[in-house]
Amino acid sequence: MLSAIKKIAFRKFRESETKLHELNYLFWECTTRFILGCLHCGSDCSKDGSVKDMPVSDFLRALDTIKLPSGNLTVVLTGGEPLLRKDIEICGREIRKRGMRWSLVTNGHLYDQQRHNSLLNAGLGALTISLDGLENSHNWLRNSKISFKKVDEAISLAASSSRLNFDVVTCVNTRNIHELPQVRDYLIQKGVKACRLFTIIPKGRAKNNPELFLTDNQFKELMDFISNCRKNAVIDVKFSCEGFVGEYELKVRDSYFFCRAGINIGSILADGSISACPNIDRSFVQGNIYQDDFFDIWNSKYELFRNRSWTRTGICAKCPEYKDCQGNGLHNRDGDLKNVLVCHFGKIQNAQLLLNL
Amino acid sequence: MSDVINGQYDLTDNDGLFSLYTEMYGNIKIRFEDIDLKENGSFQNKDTLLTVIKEKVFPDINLNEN
Repeated sequence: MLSAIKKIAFRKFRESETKLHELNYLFWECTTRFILGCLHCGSDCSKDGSVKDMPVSDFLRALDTIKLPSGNLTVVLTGGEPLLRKDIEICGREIRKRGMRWSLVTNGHLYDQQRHNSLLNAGLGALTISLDGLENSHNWLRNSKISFKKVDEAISLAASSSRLNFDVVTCVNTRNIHELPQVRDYLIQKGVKACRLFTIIPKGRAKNNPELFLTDNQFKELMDFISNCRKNAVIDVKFSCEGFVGEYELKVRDSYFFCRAGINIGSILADGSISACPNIDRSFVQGNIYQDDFFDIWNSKYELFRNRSWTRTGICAKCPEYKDCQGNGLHNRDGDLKNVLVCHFGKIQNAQLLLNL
Repeated sequence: MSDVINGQYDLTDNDGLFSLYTEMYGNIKIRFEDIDLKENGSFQNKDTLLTVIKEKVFPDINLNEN
């Protein structure tokens, strides 16, 4: 009974948040260049940098279109690998001058003592570092023999700063699912306070590599692992916002599933495209900062993101959980808009069915 | 110069200017050290305690020459 009331209240909350659509996170895909050839990359990264890095001044011009930014607005610098740019600190200081906070997502490869210091000096407030398992599994996914050593150093530096709101994200796949308890213990020993786990959507470079995708049973195993970790909260382990997980909602994260793409999350991509989370299909682009006023677009477009009724097709059409799932996270959709690429709820149901056989 | 509590540091520029963002505490202890010997002049090290902490602080510090 209480759970049903909570769900109804949350639906109302989601409806009101959608109507308000306050911009709380603005991702800037500041480069598509990268150092490692990660096997799971879902973005349009290119080693040769065929999309040139956007000048900081162009990004700031777009940022300055935001009239009366919300007090919660955080600019998240992402890539590619943002630390390949030498002017991140200049950009960070400019963001702070405008009264906004900024954060960074990195693979840690270039995050050394000097960069740690200069980023803090420039007002870096939050940091996310990717760690994808113990040494062998991490290096496999990152396609590099030294990646683990580098990320280990980066994690030590980041964890040493009490000021940074720092977390680790881990991409769970068939190679590392069995070592998650050791990864958790390693992070605790490093002094990391928070860790988000996510799985891979079959798109980008990942699409053709079956080792990256969890079976239904393994996905349920992941849910059970997170749920158990959260019972004794030495470290805040949670499932990412990637999808609706039915009975595991509230057991694997702090609140009910809510894909905030285009509702509270916007992005400016490397070529100036205006979108929501950077890993969402490029066909969802709403405009371009070189032709449009970013904040006008934020306020006047994003219909596909704010009215999700179009997602009620394919396997979602008759799903009893649709009211709470609303077609799953939007990065689970590709350009044809017809079907969801992964149904997390379905994976759990399938695993449950197998258990009951 | 370095923020003793947070361990952040920065080099002053040609005009002796520096700036950094740091965590807000009741006070901030800043240390100035001459790290390039006689190049750019030779100065005594100095510690300063900033006690009036607002969102922005503009300390005006004079270093003594050796």
